[in-house]
Amino acid sequence: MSDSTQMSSASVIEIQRLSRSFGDKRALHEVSLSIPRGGVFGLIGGNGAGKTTLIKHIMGMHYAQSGSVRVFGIDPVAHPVEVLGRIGYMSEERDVPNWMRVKEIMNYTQTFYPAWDTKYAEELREMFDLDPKQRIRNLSRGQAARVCLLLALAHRPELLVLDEPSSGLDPVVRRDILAAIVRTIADEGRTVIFSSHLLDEVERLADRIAMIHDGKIILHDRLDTIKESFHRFTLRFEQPFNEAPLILGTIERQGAGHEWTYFCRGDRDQLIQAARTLRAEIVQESLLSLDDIFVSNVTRS
Amino acid sequence: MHTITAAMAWEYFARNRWTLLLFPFVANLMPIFVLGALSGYSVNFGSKEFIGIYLGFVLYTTAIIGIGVLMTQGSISRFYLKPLSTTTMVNFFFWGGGILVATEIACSIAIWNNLFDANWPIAGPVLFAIALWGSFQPLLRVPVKSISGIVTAGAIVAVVGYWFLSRHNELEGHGKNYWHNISSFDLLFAAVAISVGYGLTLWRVRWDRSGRQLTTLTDRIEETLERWLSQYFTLSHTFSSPLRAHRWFDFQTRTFMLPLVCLLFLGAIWIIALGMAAYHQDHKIGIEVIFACTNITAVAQLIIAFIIGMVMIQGYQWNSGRKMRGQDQVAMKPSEYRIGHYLHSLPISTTHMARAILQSAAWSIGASAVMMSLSLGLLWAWISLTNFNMHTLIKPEIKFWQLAIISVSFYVLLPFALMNNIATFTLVVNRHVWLPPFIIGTVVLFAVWPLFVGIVLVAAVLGLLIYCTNQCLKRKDVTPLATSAIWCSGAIASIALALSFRPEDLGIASVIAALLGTLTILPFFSLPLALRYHRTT
Repeated sequence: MSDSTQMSSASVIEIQRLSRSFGDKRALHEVSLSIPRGGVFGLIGGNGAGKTTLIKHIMGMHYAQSGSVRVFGIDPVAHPVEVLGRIGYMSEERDVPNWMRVKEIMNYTQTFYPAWDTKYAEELREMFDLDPKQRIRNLSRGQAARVCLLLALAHRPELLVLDEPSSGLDPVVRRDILAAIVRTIADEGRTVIFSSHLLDEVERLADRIAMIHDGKIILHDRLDTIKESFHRFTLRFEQPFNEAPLILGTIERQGAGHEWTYFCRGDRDQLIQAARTLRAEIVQESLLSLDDIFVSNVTRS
Repeated sequence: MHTITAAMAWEYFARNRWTLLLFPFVANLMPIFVLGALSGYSVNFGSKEFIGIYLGFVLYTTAIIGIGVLMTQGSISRFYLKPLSTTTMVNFFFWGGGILVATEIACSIAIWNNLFDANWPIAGPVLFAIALWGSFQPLLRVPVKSISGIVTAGAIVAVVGYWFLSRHNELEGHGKNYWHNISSFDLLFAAVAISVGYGLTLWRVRWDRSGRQLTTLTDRIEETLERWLSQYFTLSHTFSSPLRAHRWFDFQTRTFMLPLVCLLFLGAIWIIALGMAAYHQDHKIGIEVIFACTNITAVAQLIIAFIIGMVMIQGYQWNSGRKMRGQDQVAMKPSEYRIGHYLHSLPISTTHMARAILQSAAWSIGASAVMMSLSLGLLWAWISLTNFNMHTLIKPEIKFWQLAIISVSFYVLLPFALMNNIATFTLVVNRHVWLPPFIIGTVVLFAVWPLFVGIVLVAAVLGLLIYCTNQCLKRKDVTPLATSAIWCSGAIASIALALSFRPEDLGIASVIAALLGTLTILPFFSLPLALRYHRTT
């Protein structure tokens, strides 16, 4: 078995030390990422963090200035047809030709995908409540987003790439339809990658996440593993502090005098032991939300 | 910034640094090449042929410069949410654009005059350009996307165009002259066109800014027609291959404009010519109008070919590296991305995409060529039936069929070369800022040493062609057999074009004709490379 085949069976996407600059702006720096087959992968980061640039490398729309990108074990820049034929892609811009009618764009797009499922496409169209005779330019932003989602899904892709899919979709579609589709695809053993600002959505859908900030991956693991490794402790010390002492795995400290709240990363028992060593009483203890994890990591970066 | 106008002017010039140079450059390209090619011969600028050439140049330059200023100005609606009065906005777009158009045209003709001692009038074309600019503003500032828009645009072109051509006695077919003296009527005509245009633009922008829509009777008819047509003409079939699908897409999006404009022009010309012949009961007038206006149709074809080439930016463009820098990334609106993401995410090879684009161009130009041939054939039939002495139109040593074959060959080759090379150029150019100044330098040198620079250009284009062919063969974009066929066709076309001139006229004109042949086959090899380069930024 060749190397590429071995790689493709283990992971859908393999990115090694990928760097990319636009002029003097560094968009990605030494990014390494492996996304396993199956499941939902969430890519989270702020504006300009590098999420879309990373997705475009996966789609073969940017060549790797240094490092390498393999999708299904194939270089997407050198072999776009082989890679793109197996991907369903919904861009952030929803930039489909707006002069076409819904039915026309379905027929046109179908030509490019041998695996296009006409029956499924019709089901999606009805589910999304799209009039086949409507021109896309006459659709609302939300309806246009549904058209894009339909086009990305109708050939039952092995890999679904959604760049900010929630943008433009109303809450009903976002919660009920998008979530259901994403879960169905993942349950069928296919892979979904989606980028989002909406961390509650990522928390609800993703199995694994990568947090990207300033072109670097600052966190990458299974979501539950990440959530279990971040803790918030409120400690009461015997004596007041102007600046609370550091304990193992501290990301951020907030408070004054006797009572301080710590955001920590690490094993819970070890963190509790470290707190006791400082003769501090644990007043409150909780896991961090993804939102808190994101903010604390980005702030620290 | 001290004033709002200064801030808007700064934004305009800062945003369009290179594009502002590109359009006047393209507008001057053809006149400088043609005049440069003819500079080695003893030419009579006062002859009716040269007045015709001059008119063609003025119309072409006005259109390209006008389109350039419009495109660089962008949509007025982006200022709607700024605390600006509508009058300030309209003044900036209307008068600012008008001054720019007038200046660029005056400078262009002054350059031709200086380089080639043409002594062509400047004031007339400038007045015409301002009047045309002003009359079109109500339609363009708040775009009319309906049949009524096309009808109104046609009416404006007919009225202002007739005024301009009649100043040169162009439509009377005899006694052509340059427009040196601007009469009071001309000034009044221009003033009325500009005033009406300004008032209507202000009114339309006010309506649009306040969210009101102007629905005309034709809009309602079109809406009804659209609803009715959608019952029967929604695309229901699928395509047998991605190449065919993309060819259909490219034709629908870009290249259909060429045969459509050709059909509208020729249809209008024939109706006017037949009407004039019937009114005056004189076949001569009708025949002369068609003969003169066929050349104007050819110029219109070139302008449309240029626009189609530029549409490549609009349609296929997407976030190239340059636009990703700094604030641009955040500031860009989704509409500015056009459909690049969708197109480039489709699993179609770049080779097939390039082939589809070239085939769509060939279809549209083929359809136009058939219409042109048909028009010339009908003209020949009319001439034969009425025993009209055609030597009043063309020189005795040239036969009508020879002229028709040469004309149609140029109608085919010139738009094809222009359309596809502009498209290729625009896909690559924004990553190589040294290209525009390099080409501008070449054109300036051509005006001084036409034969030497002409030969260097042929050599350079040939070198580029060899490089692109080699790359395409390596990447298997074309088969060796297809490459041989394309090269043979190009060689035959180049030699035939070069030899189409009389032996005593062989020289720079032949070199330019050979260059046209080479440029016609260049896109077969350069477009796949440019698309690939563009697709994987």
